[in-house]
Amino acid sequence: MGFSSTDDLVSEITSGKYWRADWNKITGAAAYAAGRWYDFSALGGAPVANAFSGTALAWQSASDSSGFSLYHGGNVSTDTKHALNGSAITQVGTGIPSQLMLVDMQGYYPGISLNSATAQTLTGTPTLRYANGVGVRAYMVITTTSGATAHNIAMSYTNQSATAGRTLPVTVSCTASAITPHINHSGTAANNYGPFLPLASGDTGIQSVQTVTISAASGAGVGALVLARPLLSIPLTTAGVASERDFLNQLPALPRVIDGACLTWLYFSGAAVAASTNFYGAIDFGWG
Amino acid sequence: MAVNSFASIGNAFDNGKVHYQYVYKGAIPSPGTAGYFVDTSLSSGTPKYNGYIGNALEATPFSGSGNNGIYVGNYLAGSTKHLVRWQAVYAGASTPIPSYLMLMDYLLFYPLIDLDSVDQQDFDNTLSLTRYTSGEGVRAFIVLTAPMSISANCTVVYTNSDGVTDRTVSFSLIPGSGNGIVVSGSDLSGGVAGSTTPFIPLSSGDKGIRSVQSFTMSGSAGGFATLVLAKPLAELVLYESGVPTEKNFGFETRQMPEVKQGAYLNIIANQGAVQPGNLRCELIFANS
Repeated sequence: MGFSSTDDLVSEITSGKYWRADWNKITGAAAYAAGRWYDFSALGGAPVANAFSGTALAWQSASDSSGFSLYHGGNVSTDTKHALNGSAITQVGTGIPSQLMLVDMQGYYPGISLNSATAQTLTGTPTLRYANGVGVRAYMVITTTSGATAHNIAMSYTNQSATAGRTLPVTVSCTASAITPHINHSGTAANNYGPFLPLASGDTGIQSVQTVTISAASGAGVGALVLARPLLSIPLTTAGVASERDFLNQLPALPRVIDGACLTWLYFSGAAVAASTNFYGAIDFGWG
Repeated sequence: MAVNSFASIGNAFDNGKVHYQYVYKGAIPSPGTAGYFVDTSLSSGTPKYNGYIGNALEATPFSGSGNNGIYVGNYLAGSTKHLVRWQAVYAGASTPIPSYLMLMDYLLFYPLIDLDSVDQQDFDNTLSLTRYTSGEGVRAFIVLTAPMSISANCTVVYTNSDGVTDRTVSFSLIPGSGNGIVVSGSDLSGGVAGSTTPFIPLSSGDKGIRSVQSFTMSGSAGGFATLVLAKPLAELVLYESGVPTEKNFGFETRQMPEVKQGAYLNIIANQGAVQPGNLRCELIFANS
């Protein structure tokens, strides 16, 4: 299914196959540093905060019924649902320039200790909305502030071809004393990568992750390893001025939102962001 | 195969063959004079600082990996990689806008050219280009690694992309006052600001540079410089501080620049004002 023409798109959405999803998020009591990524799913607002609950190291699936997902209109099969356009705004000057990236969070492995230098074995078999994990990427988000000792992250994963034992192709360093909800391997240090952990050569996605290893016990902290598929991004340009992206005529064109998708935002701080900064926005979805 | 149609772009997004990359440079070099180009690789952040480390006058190839150059994601066997979107912005109120950005694949450099010496400085070409090996479309620019004091003329002898040796050009260096300023001019203008192109001129009929044999100053100018061979890939103009400019290749330019395996991508920028600049970019790469 999908839209066969612009006329068809207009016909479908004017016949009710349309949903507008509004959202807002507010950062916490700590300021954000420039050049880092943060997982807004953990922030309060609408939808509610993701507590990254679950048994430590055991896979937790995420869907549009998880509570912290942006509601996008429910299941539409056998139609296909697509983002049509999106907008976002902040009133706070330090909130810009920045990027918002919408991802379909597949789930996460919670309770990963950042105070352990031994390999931590992850359990459970992810059920993914994307066949074989194609396009699915991984990131680590801080759920309890990490310790002050410098450390790197490594992981062993199974790729889209079901090949196990895949590893990161480069050294990836984490930020010490990282706060919630910093994606702790992102930043401006030489070996920071973000928002996603780099894939091994030839890989296009991740089916599951078997182990995560922190190179040195940081002294404290807990993280969750998230599997998510990027869908779209919106730049925030000017305080008090909404940024809008047209997903019909810009890239990625009409990104598909699969039934059950758990839509959450990642945020790239272009400047040091003041505490308690509000962000608002809306996305229009259509299906046919 | 190549990403050369709307269908192939869509295929890349659908099949997880895309990579979102973010550039963060807290303080790129100041041009010293409005209208000069600067080399953003000579600043810390993401990607890593490029110190042009090598033996004096020896051809030293660039090879991109991880944050060495802008990270372009992994490579897939049998695929080609293309730039499909580039967005850039200067943060803050005092920025070097208007600014003209050029994304290039840095190929090879000859470091530590003594701009005080009026002797012919012969380059060691034991190593050669590893990408664009014929040199077609390859251009040369000269960037300061120690400041000059005055303008001076110089002569460069090179081999063109047809393999013809002893191609000779003479031109003026503009008087750069700081590291990272591109000082190569277009002609014997005496080194006025508007004469920077940023590339050294080519002899009539030439389409590129395969290697450079020698460099000779006509008078002492002070400082040290590096001569860089690079392949220009894309351009973007920034008009206002804090307001991103974006180009969707394929949609707007009908051409998606190919990024060769091993590419070392970085950016030079023509600065409309004397400000250091605080550069952020989003780049989306798609594999065929």
